[in-house]
Amino acid sequence: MVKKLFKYEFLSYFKIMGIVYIVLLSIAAFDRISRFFESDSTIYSIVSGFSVATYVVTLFAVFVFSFLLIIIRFYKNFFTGEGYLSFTLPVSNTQHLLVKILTAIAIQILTVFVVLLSLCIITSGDALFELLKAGAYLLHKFYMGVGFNSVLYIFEALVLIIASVITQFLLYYACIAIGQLYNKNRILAAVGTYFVYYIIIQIITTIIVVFLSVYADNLLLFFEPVIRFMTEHPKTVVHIGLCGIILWELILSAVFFIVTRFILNKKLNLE
Amino acid sequence: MSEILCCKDLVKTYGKTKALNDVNLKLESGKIIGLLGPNGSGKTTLIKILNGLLTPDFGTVTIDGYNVGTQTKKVVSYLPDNIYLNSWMTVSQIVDYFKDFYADFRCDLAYEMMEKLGISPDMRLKTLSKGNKEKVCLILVMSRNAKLYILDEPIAGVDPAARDYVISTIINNYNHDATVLISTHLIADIEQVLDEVIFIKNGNIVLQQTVDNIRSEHGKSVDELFREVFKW
Repeated sequence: MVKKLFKYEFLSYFKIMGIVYIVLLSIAAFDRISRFFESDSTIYSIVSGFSVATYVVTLFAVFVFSFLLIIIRFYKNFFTGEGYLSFTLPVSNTQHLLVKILTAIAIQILTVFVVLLSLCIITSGDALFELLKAGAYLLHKFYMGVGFNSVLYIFEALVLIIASVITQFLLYYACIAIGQLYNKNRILAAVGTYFVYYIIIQIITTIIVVFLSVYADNLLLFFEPVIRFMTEHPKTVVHIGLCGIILWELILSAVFFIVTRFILNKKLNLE
Repeated sequence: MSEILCCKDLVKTYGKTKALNDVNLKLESGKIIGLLGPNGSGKTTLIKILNGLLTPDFGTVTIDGYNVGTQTKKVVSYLPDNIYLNSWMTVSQIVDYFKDFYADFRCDLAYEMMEKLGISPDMRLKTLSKGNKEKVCLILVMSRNAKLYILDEPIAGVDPAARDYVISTIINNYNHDATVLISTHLIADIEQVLDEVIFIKNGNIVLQQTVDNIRSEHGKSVDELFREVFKW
C-alpha cells in the first residue's frame, strides 16, 4: 500500500513540477544556445539580458513553487473533500504521514538537482570547467586543513540540511493539523499557530541568551573542564556540535510528527 | 444472517451539542437499510464514525468483527455527501486509483457504467459537470465488491430522473451478500428498495424495524411513519 501511496503522491507532484522543471531547463538551454551567437549587436544584448533575467526569476519561482506545492498538497489531500477519499483508503495515518514527508523531501532534493543541472547547462563549457576546478580546489584545501574530518563534516552538514528541511515541513504539517481543530477560519488558525510557535521559540531563545550573559562568569567557572576540552579538541567539538543540532532537529521532527498523527487519529473533523 | 456492524454505547458531542447519544445498533448482512432522520439528527456523524473520519467520545464500533481501522476500510465502500475525488486526475486514473487500493474493485464494471453515461476514460474529473462527478463517485463506490456499502445522502440534491439512475445503480450493482446502509431524508424515493429502516432523532436511535413489520404493525408506509415520528 505504501508503494501505491508513493506512486500517486509523485504523480500529483510531477503534473505541476514536471512542467516547472522543463521550463527552467528550457530557459537555461535557450540562454546557452544564444551564447553561440554572441556579438556586440543591440539585439543580442536585449535577448541575452532577457534570457538571463528570465532564468533568475524562474530559478526563484521553482523553489517557491516546490515549497508551496508541498504545503498545499498536504492541506488539500487531507483536509478538503479529498480527505474523504484519503482517510477511507485501507492505509494507516502513520503510513499517510510518512509518505507525505518522504515525498516532500524527495521533491525538494530533486528540485535542487534540477537547479544544479540548469546551472551546468547555463555555464557549460569553460565556465563550468572553471567552477568545478574552483570547487575541487576548495575541497582539497579543506581536506588538507582538517584531514578525514572534512568528509565527515560535509556528510554531517548534508544530514543536518535534510533534517532541518524535514523539521520545517513537519512543523507546517503540525500547524495545518492544529488549524483543523477550529470550526471556522481553519487556514488562518494554522497560520496563527505557526506565529505563536515562532514567538514562543523567540521568547525561550531570549531567556536563554539573557541567562547566559547574566551568569557568564559563574558558568565559565562551572563549565571550565568543558571549555578546556573544547580548546584542546576543536575538531571533535565541531562533530559534537553538528551531531547535537541534528539530534535536536530529529527530536523536534518526532514531536511535530506525533502531534500531527494524534490529530489525524483522534481529532480529525473534515468539513 | 451474520452481523456486519455493531455499535455499542456510541456518544459524540460537539461542544455542548450531543450529536450521538448512547447509540446502540446492530446490522445484519444481506440487507438494504435506510438510515432515516431529518437534517441534524446525527446521520452523517454516525456515518463518519463508521468510516474512521471521526472518533467517538465514548463507545465502540466493530465492522465484520474488527474495530474501525485499516481492516474495516478494506470491506466498507463509502459514498460521502460531497464530491471527494482528486480533481487533477482523469477518469481512468481515478479508476486505477480505486483498483490499486481496493482489492475488491471491479474495473470492468466501472468502465461499463461510465460508458453508458458517455463518460470517456480520458476526461479530466474537473471538467465533468457536478451531476456527472456525483455519478462517477457513485459508480466507483458501487463497483466494489464490499461487505458494507455506506451511502450518505446519495439522492439529495439531484433531480428526479437522476434519483432513478442512482437507485437503479445501487440495486443492480451491490454485492448481494453485503449490507447497504443508505442515509437520507427523502424516504418516498427510496422506500421501495429498503428491507429495514432505522430512525434517528437528535442523536438517538428511535426505531429499527423491517419495512414489512412497519407496514403490518403500524399499517403505514415508512414515509407516513417517518412524518408521524418526526412531526414538528
